[in-house]
Amino acid sequence: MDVQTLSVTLRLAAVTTAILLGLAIPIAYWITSTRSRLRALVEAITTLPILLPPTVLGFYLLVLLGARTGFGRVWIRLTGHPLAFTFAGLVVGSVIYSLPFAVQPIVAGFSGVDVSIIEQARLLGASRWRLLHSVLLPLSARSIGAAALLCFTHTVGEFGVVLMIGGDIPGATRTLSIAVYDQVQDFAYTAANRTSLFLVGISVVSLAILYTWRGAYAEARHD
Amino acid sequence: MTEGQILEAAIEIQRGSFALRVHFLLRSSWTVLFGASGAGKTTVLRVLAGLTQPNRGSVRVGKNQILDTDRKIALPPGKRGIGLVPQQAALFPHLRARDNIDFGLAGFKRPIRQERVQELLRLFEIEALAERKPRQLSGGERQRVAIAQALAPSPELLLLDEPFNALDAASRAAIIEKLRRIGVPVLYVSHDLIDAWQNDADAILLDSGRVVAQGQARTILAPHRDQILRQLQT
Repeated sequence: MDVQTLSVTLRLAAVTTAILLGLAIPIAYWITSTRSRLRALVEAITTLPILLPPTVLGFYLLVLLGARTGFGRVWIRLTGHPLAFTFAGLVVGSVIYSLPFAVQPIVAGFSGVDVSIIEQARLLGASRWRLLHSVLLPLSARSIGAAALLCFTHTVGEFGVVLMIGGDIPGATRTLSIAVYDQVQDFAYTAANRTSLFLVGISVVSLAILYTWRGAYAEARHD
Repeated sequence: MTEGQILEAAIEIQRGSFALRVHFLLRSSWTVLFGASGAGKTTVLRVLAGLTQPNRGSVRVGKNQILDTDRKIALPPGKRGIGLVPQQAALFPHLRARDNIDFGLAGFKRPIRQERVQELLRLFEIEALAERKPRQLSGGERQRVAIAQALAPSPELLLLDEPFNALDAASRAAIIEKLRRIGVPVLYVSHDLIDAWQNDADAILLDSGRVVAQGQARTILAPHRDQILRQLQT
């Protein structure tokens, strides 16, 4: 397996996961605490990437990041090159594509905290920030861990969005899933099998960790 | 509001078929809010604490207007100077008993917080439990920690929503005695006639969302004297 490709893949997954946690925690907090009518719309938008074909998402991102849009032109003026077909462009695409995998487990975690505990925190004068960092985050640690794991694994395995936005540039935008595609195109089935097995292994290990957490949590609740 | 009144409240709530319309004063430092299940006792406490918004209402604690829907005043729960202990102690499961009690003291300096926590641990005889988490405590121990937690920020009024149901009579009497010794005014929800009778308190009698009587418990509950004596004998 190509170490450079592995490095790009793991770097992309790590950066995407870190950014997604930073975005998803405030979004989930807003969703679980607001009475705004916009809540349904925000939930729909954050869930949309699950339903959209990755190529459709990739196409619109490619257009958005290119020189035809205001955002794309500003980016080019600031950096001297378009965001598409760069590692940074891949990160933008991955963040949007995996957003539901970060937001939904955290929303579930926050929603699972007993209302009476949240009310007690408010009675004791906790601000919204303190309620988040001293009560909701520690009590939703497993959900946040699950969100991180899902984002990481999902990003490692994504294909359509990566191909559309990043193309296939070795050392910059070629990830393991693109490498499998290339290897099959070259009839290098043994190499494709090795890369695929590695990706299967990552998914199996992630799911095993998730279900182990779930089992431990269920046991703790029954104690 | 006249001198010596701890609280004055007028609350109107309509939720589906349930209607609550009450007006009452607290003058005694120990008042029992008494009524059958479904009379609206818990709803009254939640409105006073700021956890439920009434359709219309006005609440004054001491000289502070904490709610006035006509003037769009509604202080958030943490700024009302009111502590609430629910039926089931709502302790933070990830924090030790000591940290649970400390939670409401965020605005104070560390030495003051430590001293206050220690004082409450001593008062409720739970020093030995200070390092335990709620799941390592019995029901009675949890309620003691919950009361200490509610008292930590020195509220002007403490609301107790039948928190002693799981306790035996001796433990209940011990906690009530400690609370009365502290002197913090208490509005104590109960549907237990004996509770109201024995504690020589003021009482507010609630029935189907209406205050039907208020005054000294023994006067108000006099018509139920025979029932109380029967309960005491069994």
